[in-house]
Amino acid sequence: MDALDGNALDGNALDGNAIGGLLIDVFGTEMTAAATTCATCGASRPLAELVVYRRAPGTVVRCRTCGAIVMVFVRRMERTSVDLSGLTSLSEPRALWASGRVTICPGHTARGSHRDTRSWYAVTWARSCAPHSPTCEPRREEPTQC
Amino acid sequence: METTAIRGRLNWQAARVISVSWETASVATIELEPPDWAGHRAGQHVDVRLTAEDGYTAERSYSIASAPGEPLAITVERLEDGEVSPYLAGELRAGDELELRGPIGGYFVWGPSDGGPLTLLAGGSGVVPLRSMLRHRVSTRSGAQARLLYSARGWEDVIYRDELGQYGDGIRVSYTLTRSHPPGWTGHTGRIDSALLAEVAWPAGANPLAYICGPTSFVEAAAAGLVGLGYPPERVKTERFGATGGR
Repeated sequence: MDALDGNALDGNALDGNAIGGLLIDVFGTEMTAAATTCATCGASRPLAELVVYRRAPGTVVRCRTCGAIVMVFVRRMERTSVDLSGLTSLSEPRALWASGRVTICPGHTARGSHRDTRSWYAVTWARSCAPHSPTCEPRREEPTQC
Repeated sequence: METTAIRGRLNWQAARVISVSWETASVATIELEPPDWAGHRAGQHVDVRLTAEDGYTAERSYSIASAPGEPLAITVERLEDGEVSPYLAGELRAGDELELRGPIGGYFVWGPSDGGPLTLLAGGSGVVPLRSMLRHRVSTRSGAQARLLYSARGWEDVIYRDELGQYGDGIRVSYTLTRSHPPGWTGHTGRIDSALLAEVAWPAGANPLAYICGPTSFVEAAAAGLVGLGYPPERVKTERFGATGGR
């Protein structure tokens, strides 16, 4: 909730609440209350409190503390490409990959690990990817059922 | 449009417009009846999608104005240079259909189990989700005391004015008018600042829970003000809708 330190906040900037519908498309569940950790500065906060720009081509999500890009969503035709490499963690107990409509950039999107605890899921991404390549071709991944 | 619900996905559906009523000269509340609606939580929103004849689509998010248990309603401010809002608050009529999906949001929500006391700060149409929370508080007979500070341009721009004036015990509503005020106005004027917040918000020692909604610049100022008064950041929940209410 603290100001985007050291960066003049654009009055057009939204916050993570504004992409609740997009996040449900991608993750298959409500995600605005999910906990995030910025890979650049380590700041932790609910996804709803991140800075969101929707006027760029696609949706760009930035850290409210350091301004680093933490998430990018680009929709092409019926697919959404997701880059989460600016996060060290994204945790939402009920999250699961929604469907084959979600496309993941191989090597550039941190990979998910799933922990099955009774009927709910814990998904935490570890940052283990190379810098994003503009030539990357998105690849369709089948949904993961835990 | 998809006709079958798919697990883990929000489906677009055509809701029937039950009524359109005007809150101010430019703000309308639209009551809707979606075919598939399992209820909502106070503070959530819906995505609305308009489709032009050539296939072009425009999507916007609108906070739900009604309390859980009440028919779905959204309140829309008509922005003269807007793409979607002039249609919703101007062209839409009872009996029309409106494509929407929801409810959406799990962070900027309040229920009786979240307790209080509540400090609610609204900038313009940011009052909409906070009104849902207040109605929910009343309908559930929650004991959470609430203080709402509503910043509006002028008295004629205050949404839900009659309703907000009728809340009784446990809910205190204050206004600050930023551009104009009626003759004899004894309420606050000007943009919110630390002095005003210190006067109308719960002191931090009461361990209040705060919800702030409005234009981005309003939310930034209000949130920084509450933290300056000692509110822990994790007790301050915010929702921003851009420069002038891009939705």
